[in-house]
Amino acid sequence: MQNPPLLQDYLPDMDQVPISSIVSIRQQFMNYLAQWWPQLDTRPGSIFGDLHLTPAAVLDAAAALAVTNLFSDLELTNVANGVINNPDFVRAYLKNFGVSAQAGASSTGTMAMVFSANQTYVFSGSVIFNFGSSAFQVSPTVGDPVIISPMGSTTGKYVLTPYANGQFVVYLPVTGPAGASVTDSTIANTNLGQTNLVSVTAAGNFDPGTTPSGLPQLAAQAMLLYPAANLSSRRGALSFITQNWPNLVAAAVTVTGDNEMIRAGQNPLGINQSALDIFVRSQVNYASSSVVAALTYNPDLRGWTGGLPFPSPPAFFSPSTGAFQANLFDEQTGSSLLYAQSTDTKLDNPGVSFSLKERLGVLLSDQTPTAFNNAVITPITSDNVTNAALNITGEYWGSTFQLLPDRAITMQFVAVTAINNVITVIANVYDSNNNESGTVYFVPDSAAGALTGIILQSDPGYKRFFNGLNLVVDIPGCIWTPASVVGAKFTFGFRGKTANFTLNYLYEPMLPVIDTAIQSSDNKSVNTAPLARSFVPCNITQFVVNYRYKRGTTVDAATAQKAIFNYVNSLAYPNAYEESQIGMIMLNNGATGVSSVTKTGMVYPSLAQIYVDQNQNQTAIPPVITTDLSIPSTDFGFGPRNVSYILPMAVIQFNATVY
Amino acid sequence: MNGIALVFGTEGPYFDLSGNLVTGFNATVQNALVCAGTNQGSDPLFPTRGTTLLADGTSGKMVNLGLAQTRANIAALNVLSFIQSTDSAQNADMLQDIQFQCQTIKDQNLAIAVKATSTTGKTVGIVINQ
Repeated sequence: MQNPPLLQDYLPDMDQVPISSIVSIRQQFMNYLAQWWPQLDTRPGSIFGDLHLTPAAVLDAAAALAVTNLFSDLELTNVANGVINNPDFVRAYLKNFGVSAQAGASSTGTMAMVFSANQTYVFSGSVIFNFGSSAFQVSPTVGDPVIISPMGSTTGKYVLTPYANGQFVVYLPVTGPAGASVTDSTIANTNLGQTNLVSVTAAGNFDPGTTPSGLPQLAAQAMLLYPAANLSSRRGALSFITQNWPNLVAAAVTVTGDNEMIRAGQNPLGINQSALDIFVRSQVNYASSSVVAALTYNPDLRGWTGGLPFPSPPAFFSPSTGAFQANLFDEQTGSSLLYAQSTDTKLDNPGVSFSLKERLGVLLSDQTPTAFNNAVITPITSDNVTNAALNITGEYWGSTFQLLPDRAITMQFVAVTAINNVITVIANVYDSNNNESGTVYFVPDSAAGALTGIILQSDPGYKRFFNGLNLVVDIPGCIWTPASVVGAKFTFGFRGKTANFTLNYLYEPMLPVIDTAIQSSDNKSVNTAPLARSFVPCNITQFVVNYRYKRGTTVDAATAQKAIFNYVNSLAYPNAYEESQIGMIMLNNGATGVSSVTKTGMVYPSLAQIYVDQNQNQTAIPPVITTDLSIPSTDFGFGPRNVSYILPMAVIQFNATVY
Repeated sequence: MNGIALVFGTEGPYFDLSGNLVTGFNATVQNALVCAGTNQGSDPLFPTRGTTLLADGTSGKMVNLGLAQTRANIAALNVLSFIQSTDSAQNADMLQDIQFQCQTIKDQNLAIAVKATSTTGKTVGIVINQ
C-alpha cells in the first residue's frame, strides 16, 4: 500500500450527514465546553455558537461517517457485497491478502466466412462481426487489412477453400469481449459491405476468456484464502476460530512442539506430519445430556463392559451427579474403570482425548448381577460347507468398546497357516451390527484326538469378538485337515447377559461443527493434522472464599457467586486463574477483603483411566490434583494452554468473618 | 453567559472586537436580536430559528405601520419560542418576554423598538409608543 487513505477521501456528501447527528454533537460540545467555561455563550445566535460550534459539529459528524466508511472498506464482508467507498484504497488493501486483480482475457474463437465467388477479398481489421450481442473483430494476428486469397494461392496466408454449392469458405480467428459466450454455428451480423459474402458463422464454440477480477470478487477470494492459510499456525488458527465463531468463550491452540501436544504422526508417504489441536468452549455452562449404554456382563472380570455410545464427545461427566464416579450408573454400586482408544490408527495415544477420534469403553464392577437380559446364541447357518460343522457353546462376555451388545457374525475360513508349527486355519469375522471386522484362528483340539479344531482363545481377535464362547469346528470321520474347510462360511448371532445403564455427561455442542469445518478440504492446510477437541477439564470440587466484611454492611453473595462462576469457567490461555480477581469480585460486592480461597481441582487428561492402543497395550492415565488451580504439564498431553476449569455453581461457597 | 458583542448600527450589525463582552441577560437579548434578523429556515440545524421579518418587508406585507406591527408581533413570538427552547438550563436569567414595536417606516428601513424582560424581572430596551 503506497498511499495511506486520507480521511477527507471518505468525507460524505452533505445530504449523507444526518442533521439530527449534527444537532446532537453540537449539544454534546456545548455540555463539554460548559465544564471548562461555564459563562461561555454557545447558544444558537451567539457569535461563538454560530460561527464556531456549529461548523465544528458538522465536521465532527462528517468525520464520524468518514471513519465509518473507512472501517467499512476494511471489512471484507462489506467489500465482497459491493459496498466500496474508496476503490483505490480497497484495491491496495486487498494486496495485503495476496489477492490482486487479474486482467481479463478476451473471448476467442474461429468464424467461417462463406463467399460466393473465388477471388481476393480485402477488408479492414476493424470490421465488426456481431455474434448475438457481442461484437467481435478479426484477431490482430491476421493483420490489418485482412487479406483473403483465392483458392489455389500459394502466397496468401488465408486462402479460400471449396464449400458446398460452388461457394468458398475461409476460417479466421476472432476476438471479442471477455466472458462472451458463443456457440457453434451461431450466425453473425456484420457491417462488412461485401456483396459476395454469403454468411458468417461461428466454427465451433468460442472460448469465453475470463472477466477481469472485480473488487467484490477479490474480497471474497481473500476471505476464502485467509482462513485456509491460517490453519497452519497457532495465531492463524486462533484467528480462524474467532473469525468464524466469534461467540466462543474460550479457544486455544496447541501445535507440535508444545508440552500439551503429544499427537504426532506420519502421512501416507511416511513424512512426519505436524499436528494442531483446537480447543473450544462455547459457553460457561457445558451442554448436558445422557446416554444409555447396553453393557454385557463379564463373569471373569465380575463386571459390566461395553462401549459408551456418545453422540458427541463428552467434555466431562455431570458434576451434579458426581464427577466420574461409578454411581453415575444407576443399576450398580461398584467401582468403574473407563478405557479410551483412538479410532485413528495413525494417532494412537491419549492425545486424541475429548475429540471425535476417541472412543470410550467401561468396566463396571458388579459381583452379583441381578437384573439383566439373558444370554442368547442364535442357530448357525452355513454356506459352502461340505464336511464340517461349527458348534458354539458358553456365554459371551462382551468387549470393551463394543457399542451394541448383540453381535451378528459372518465367519468364513479363508486360509491355512502354521502357528508354532501347528496347522492353523484362519477365519475372517465381520459383525454387521457393530460394523467391526477382524481375524480369528482355529487350532487342532488335542483333547479330541486332533479331529476337531478349536478357536485360539489367546488371540486378541477372539477376545474382541467371541470372549467367553467356545467355538469348535468338527470334521466328522477325519483327522484335522483344515484345508478342506477353507471357503466354508457360517452365519450366527449371540449376546451375553446385558443390561442398560444411564450416564449423564457434559459436552461441547460446537465441537462437531468446528471439527467438520477444520477437517474440510477447503480449510485444511497441507501437512498439518488439525483436530478439534474440548478443553482438558479441571474439575473443581472445592472452592471456598474466606472473606471479611464490616458489621452493618451487606455482601451480595449471589452476585459474587455468579461473577466467580463466569470468571473461572471462561478462563483460557494466556489468561490464568488469579486470586486477585476473586478479591476484586468480592470487594465489588460489599466485602472488605478476601483472606484466602480454599480450592481443589482435578485435571483429567482423558475421561478414561486407561488408554488401550491398537496393539491392546494398556497405559494408565492418572488425573492430577491441584490445590492452587495452577496447571502443571505432564506426559499426558495437558498444560496451561489446553485446560479449562469446570466450576459448578454449587461448589462455590463463602465463609464470612464479620468485624 | 458571556459572548462577543454585536453592535447594531444603521449600517447593520458588526462585531465589537474592542474587548467588550456582552454578558448576562444582555447576551440572551443579543441572541434574540440575531434570531429576529435571521431568515426563518436558513439554518438547517434549527429549522424553527429566525423570523419572516425580512421576507415580509421585501414582499410588501409591511407597507404601513399597522401591517408591519402585525408581522412584528408574529416575529416576536417566534423569537421568544426559539430562545426559550434553546436556552441553557444553567442560565438563571432566561428570556420571559419580548416585544417588538414598529416605530417608523422610512425609505427601505423599518425601525423596531425592542423590550425584553427576563425571568428575574430585568428589562432591556424600551417600547416607545405603547
